[in-house]
Amino acid sequence: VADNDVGRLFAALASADLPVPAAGSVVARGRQRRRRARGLAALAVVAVAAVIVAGIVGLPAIGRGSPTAPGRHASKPRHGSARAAGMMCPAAPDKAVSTALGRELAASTQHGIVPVALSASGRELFAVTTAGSFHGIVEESIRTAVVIARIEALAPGETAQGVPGPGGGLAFTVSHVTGGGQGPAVSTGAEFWAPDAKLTALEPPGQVGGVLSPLAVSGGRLAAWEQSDGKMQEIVEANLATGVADVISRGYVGPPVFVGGALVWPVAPNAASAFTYGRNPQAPSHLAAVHAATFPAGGPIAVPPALRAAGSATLIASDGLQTAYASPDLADLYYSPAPSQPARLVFRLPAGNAFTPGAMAFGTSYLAWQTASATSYLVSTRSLAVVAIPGFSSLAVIAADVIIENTTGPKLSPAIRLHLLTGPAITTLRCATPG
Amino acid sequence: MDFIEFYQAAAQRVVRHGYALTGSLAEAQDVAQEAFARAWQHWDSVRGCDSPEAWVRRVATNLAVSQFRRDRAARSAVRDLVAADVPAISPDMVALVAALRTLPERQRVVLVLHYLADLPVGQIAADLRAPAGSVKAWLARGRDALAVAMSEDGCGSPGRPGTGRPGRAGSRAAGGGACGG
Repeated sequence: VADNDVGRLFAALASADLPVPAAGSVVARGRQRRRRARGLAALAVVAVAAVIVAGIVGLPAIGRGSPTAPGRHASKPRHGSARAAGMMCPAAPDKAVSTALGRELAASTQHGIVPVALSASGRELFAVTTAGSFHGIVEESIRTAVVIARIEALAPGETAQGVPGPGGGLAFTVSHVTGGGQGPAVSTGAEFWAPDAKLTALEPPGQVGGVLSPLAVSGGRLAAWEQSDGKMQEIVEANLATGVADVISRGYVGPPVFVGGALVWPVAPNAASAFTYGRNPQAPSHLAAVHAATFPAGGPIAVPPALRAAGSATLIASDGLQTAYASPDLADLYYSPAPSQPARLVFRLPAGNAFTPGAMAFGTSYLAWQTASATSYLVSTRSLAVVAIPGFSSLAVIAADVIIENTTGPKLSPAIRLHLLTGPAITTLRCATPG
Repeated sequence: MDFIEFYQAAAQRVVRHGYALTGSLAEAQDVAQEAFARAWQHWDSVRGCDSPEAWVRRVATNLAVSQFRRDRAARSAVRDLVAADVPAISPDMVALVAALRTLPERQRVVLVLHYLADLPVGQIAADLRAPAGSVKAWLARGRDALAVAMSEDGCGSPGRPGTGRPGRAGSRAAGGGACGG
C-alpha cells in the first residue's frame, strides 16, 4: 500500500458521513455531569467545614498541610501595551530569506530521512535514514545529499536526537519506544561521534535509566543532560574526548544548560511538582548551578545574573555567552547578551501560541525557535529584528546555519522538504521600522 | 458562539477522530458525546478558547486512548462488524482503522492528529507535551507501519482485534505471515 493510498483513505474518512449523537443527549449528559459536580462540591464544603470544626475543638485533622507556594511568575496581562524599548521588532522583507524559502535542499529529494542536527560548520546534515539498505544515523552533504559517513546502525523502531558537537561531531542519544510500543520513547544512553569515525559512549558508572533531556554541549568539549536512575532524576556531565561521565546532582531536576563557565539546571522541590519534559508551568522551582568550565565539574556557585530572574523556567537556551529563556507559561521570551547581564523581556508570542519545548537554540549572532503553531522564528541578536515563518518547523537542526522544514505542502510525500537559512542571512536582518 | 451551533459544526469531525482512534463507531460516538458534554459543562470558558474544537478533540483523544487501553483485551469483533455495516464506512475505511489499531498508541494518535485533524508537528508536540523530534519519529514510523499493516491484507482486519500490537516493525512483519494475505 503506497503512502498515497493511506492519504486517500484518511481523506475518505475525513469526509465520511458518520452518525453522531443527538445534540439533546449531549446536553443532557452535560447537565448530569454538572449535577454530579455540584454534589461533589457540596460534599467537599461539608468535609472542609468538618475539618475546621475539628481544628477548633482540638481534634486531629486529616490532610492539613501548608498551601502550595505560588509560582514566582504570576500570570500577567498579555499584550495590550505598546512595545517597550528593547523589544524585538518585525524584520523588513529580506531577499536572502525569501530566496532560501524558495529553494529546497538536495536532501529534500530523499525518502525516509529524519533530520537530527546540522554540523557546526553548516555543511553537513546528520540524519536518521530509514530507507534503503541502512537504517541508522548518517552524516551527509547538505549540498549534494551524498552520505559521507554511517555513524551508527539502529534497530527497527529506534531513532536518534542530537546536537552538533565540537570538531564537526555529533552528540546524540538513541531512543526506542517502551512498554511493547505503548510507553514513551526512552533514550538509553548518550554517545559522541567525531568525524574521524570515533564513536564514544558517554556513560556514568551505575547508569540504569534513560536520558530525559536534549543534550547540552559546551565549547569546552563537555556535554550534560538530565537522566533517570530509575528512581530519581540526575544531572550528568561528560567529557566528550574521553567519554568519562559524572553524576553531579540528584533530585527533581530539569534539563541543564551551559551558561558561561557554569552548568545550570532547574530544580523542583518535590515529586509532585517534578518536571515534565521542558514544561510544567505549575512547578514552583529554582535554578541550581555548578562551576563547569572544565571536567570534572566544580562545586555549587551562584546562578549567573542572566538567569537569576528565570524562576521556574525550564526552556532555556544558551550558546555559552548569550542566554534566552521562555517564561514558565511558554509565552514570553527573555534574553541576555552575556552571563553577567540580567535578562530582559524582549518578545511576547501572540496570545494562544506557545514555544515548543526543546526547540530553541542559538546560532552565530542569531536565535531561533519554534512554536506550537508550526511557525519558525529567527531573530538577529545584533538588531533584534525577528522574522516569523509560518508553516516551517524543525529547528532542532541548528548551528552556524539553520535548516527549516516546510510543513505546508502535501504531507504524504515521504521526502521532507528542507530549506537552509545561512547564519549571515539571519544576522543581517533589519527592523522594518527602525527604532 | 452558541453550544448547539458549535456542536453541529464540529460533531462529525470529533466522531471521525474518535473512530480513527478507537476503531469502533459505538465507542467513537460515546467518546464524542462525553467530550462535548464536558465542553457544555464548561462552555463559558471553553468558548473563549482560541479553538473550542481543539479543546474537545484533546479531551476526546484522552478518552479514546484510555478507553482503548481499557477495552483492548475485551474488544469484540461483533461490535466492529456493526461499524462496518454503516453505509458511510467503506471497507477501505474499516481496513484503515483496523490497521491503525495495530499501531502503538503514540504512533496512532500522532497519525490521526496529523492526517485527520490536520495539525502541524509543532502543535502535536505541544498537545502531547513531547519533543517535536519524537513526534516526527512517531509520524515516520507510524506511516511506515501503517503502510505495512495495510498491505498485509487481512492482518489488520477487525477479525483480529486487540492482538498483535507489537512495538517493533520487525515483529509486525513476522506476525503478518500467519494471516496468509
